Amino acid sequence: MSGHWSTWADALRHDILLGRHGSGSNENRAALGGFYQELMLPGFPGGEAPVEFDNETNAISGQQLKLAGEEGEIIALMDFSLSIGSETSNSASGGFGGGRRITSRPFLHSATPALPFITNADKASLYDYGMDWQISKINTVEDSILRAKPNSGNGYYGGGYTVENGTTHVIQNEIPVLPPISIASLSHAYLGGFSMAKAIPVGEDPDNDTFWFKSGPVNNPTGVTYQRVTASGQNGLAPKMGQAIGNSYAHPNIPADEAFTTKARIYDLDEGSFEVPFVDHSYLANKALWDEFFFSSIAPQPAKVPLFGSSDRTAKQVADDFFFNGKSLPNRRIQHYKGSLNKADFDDLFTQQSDYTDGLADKIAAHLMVNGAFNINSTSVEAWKVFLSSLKGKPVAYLDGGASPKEFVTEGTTVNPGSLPGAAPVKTSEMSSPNSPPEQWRTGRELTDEEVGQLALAVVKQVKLRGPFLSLSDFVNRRLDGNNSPFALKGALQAALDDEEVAINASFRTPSRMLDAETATIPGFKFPDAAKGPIAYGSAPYVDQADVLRHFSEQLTPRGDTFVIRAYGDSIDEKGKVAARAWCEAVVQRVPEYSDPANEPHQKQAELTESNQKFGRKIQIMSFRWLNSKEV
Amino acid sequence: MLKYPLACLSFFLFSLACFGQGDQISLQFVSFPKLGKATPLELIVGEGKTINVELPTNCLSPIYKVDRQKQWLLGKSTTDDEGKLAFETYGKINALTSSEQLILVVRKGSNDSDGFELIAMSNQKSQFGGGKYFFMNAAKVDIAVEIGDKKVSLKPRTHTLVEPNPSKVKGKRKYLYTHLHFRKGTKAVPFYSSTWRFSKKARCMVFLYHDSHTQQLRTHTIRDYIQ
Repeated sequence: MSGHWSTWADALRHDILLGRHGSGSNENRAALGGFYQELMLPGFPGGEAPVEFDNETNAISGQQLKLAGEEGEIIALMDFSLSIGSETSNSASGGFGGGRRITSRPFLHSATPALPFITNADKASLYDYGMDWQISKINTVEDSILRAKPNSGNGYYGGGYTVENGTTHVIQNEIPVLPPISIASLSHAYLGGFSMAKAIPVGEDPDNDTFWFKSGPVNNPTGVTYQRVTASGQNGLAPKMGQAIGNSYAHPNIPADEAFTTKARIYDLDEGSFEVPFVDHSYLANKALWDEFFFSSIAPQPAKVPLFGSSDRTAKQVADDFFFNGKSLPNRRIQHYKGSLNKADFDDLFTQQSDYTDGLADKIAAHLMVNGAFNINSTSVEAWKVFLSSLKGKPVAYLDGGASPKEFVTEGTTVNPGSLPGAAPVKTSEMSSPNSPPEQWRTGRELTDEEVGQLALAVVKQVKLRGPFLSLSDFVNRRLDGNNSPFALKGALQAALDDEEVAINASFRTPSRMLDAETATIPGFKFPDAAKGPIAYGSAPYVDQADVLRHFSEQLTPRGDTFVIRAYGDSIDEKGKVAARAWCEAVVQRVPEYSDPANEPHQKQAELTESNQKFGRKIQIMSFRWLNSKEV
Repeated sequence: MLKYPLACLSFFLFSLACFGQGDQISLQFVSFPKLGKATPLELIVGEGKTINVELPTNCLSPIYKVDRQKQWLLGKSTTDDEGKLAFETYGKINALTSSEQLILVVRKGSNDSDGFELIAMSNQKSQFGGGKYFFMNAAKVDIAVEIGDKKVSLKPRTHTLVEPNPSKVKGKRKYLYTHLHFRKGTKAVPFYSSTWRFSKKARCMVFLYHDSHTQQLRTHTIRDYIQ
């Protein structure tokens, strides 16, 4: 006999939320049956047919069941497993648990910190949910998909569900223990969700080109909005994904030339299909953040965080020490620019901490500058090499199972997926397989000079191909260009990291670690090329763009504020001959103050006086010298 | 495929019958690879006599009490082109002397007519009793087994019987830490790790094979509880 589809689906329903229901009409029952069938098929061996139970001659006898029970043991008949997706390839050993049944990118687009509401069963939609379910008839619990490390009982994840490729400890997201110093540090924030909410447009503001959705469970409108995403990724705009900020991977369910689209969902069969917004969280967040905000590193330094050396200072004290006592900030590239700021004004400024507009957050930037900003439009390989090697030889703090951080001094350049890795960094040459060494899933990487050099060369290649970049978000984001797939697939830095000539991620480009070629042919994908490439995008061992940016993104600029200006003049006699020639050089710096003091530095273009709109901010001459002819 | 006209077999079978006259053997069968529906086959149990025996794949068959034979022949009675009864032998093995024997029937193909390899084992509790593990490597690669305190390696198409001691005892419960590896070049790649329950009242048969559909290396385990 065969199990009824709804019986199989019940197993799924107990563990995750099947977000499709309806009244008990025959039509709805038939439709639900079809939905269950479509949903469950990928979980069966071969993805084609339900498990056939054995006939009588091949069944396990009741006597055996009884004897096993007397021994306190269980004889298994069927195994249903529901797992968060892992990198595991379909050819992995270890039984049906070794492979993967449902195509996803489990650490990026399909990251599932919270259980999804599954309302669509087509393969393109299953990519969004990130769950992997498998069903198989088994004979004993020894054949179960549930593999655990003997003694500890820990299961396997990361590279796979079995000991062959998996590891017992994986860090996919961190709860920050340190205040962020880079926008890319926000990559661990969950921006989107996939809730049961039905999006109902309730208002539009054409002037600002914005729209709002009020959402609530169908047939039970509560007025509760589901726009806000919980820390675990519930609610909010679809799709649920991880590692959005700072990364730039295109989503296969969003057209190449769009940053958002809509997707049909069926939650209530009686109400039918409705469209919900479906957005490229990376693109939109990067667009909103990188050109408007930065982290000053003026933040509390609580004593209970050992990394601060028991500093135990409030943000105000950190700022006081920085501005008036000669101490540096955690981000030492940030320099103060006091201008006319005195202590009394400064103290007054800190009373405006909770004013989100025209308050401290807006105004403090007028007193901060970046020392040694790096222009993203640089086409100097050497300059990029030096910049990307900023952390070369620097000690790395990490946790190794205990509560107190340890320190590891690297020879190479570290790239970390978080602020406090769970092991000492791993070299590329040490990564011999998806789980060897296992530490690769909970720490960062130590890059060699050669790898940094390869990356610098590849970045310059991308700068020349795509530049000049007009803003930081332009550099960070992919291009919304339907006619240029490489530009639309990922941003410049990620394209450099994934360059064939760059060895950093080379081990992830073997066939068993890439999405199958057929994946891109899944019907329904709107950008099929985005469904090609490594599965492990967004994971700890894969070096993503955000991993690189988190260390020094506050140094990057699309345009410098310091300029070297050279001029020359001729003195011509009455006959028109050059009597004398002079050369001079000035180093000038654009400073926060506007030329017309009527405006404060934090005010935006539209708020400026006519004079300031024309002439902008002041330029200060930092140095001046005459040049001789040999210097020209 | 061997075909013995029954008449021609008479002397042979008679001699077999004489060999074990009055001596009853307890026979059980199990077959591999696993099938949803394993069809019974005929076993020659004397001159011109056959019985149907079941060849389950996920448990041991019922016990068949038969006269001792020199060889165990499994197959199917057919009629040849001339209309004479014949016995089509799918697999055979020399019988053991043990009064309790377990015949492992390994299919060579997807159809019964592709033939079987038979492996005869003593089924006496002193030989294959509780707490013992029979491993068969039906895969295409070398396999290394670590189970409890025992380590064995198996070339393809070989088998072994292991009697491990528990890795851990917690009250009445005993556990075996089990690791399986396959050879990849000069390396042993782990592909299975788990903790198995250990019981002196259960014996296990573990088949290691490559799934014909997915080509994945996997296990098929039969746990037989002894009364």
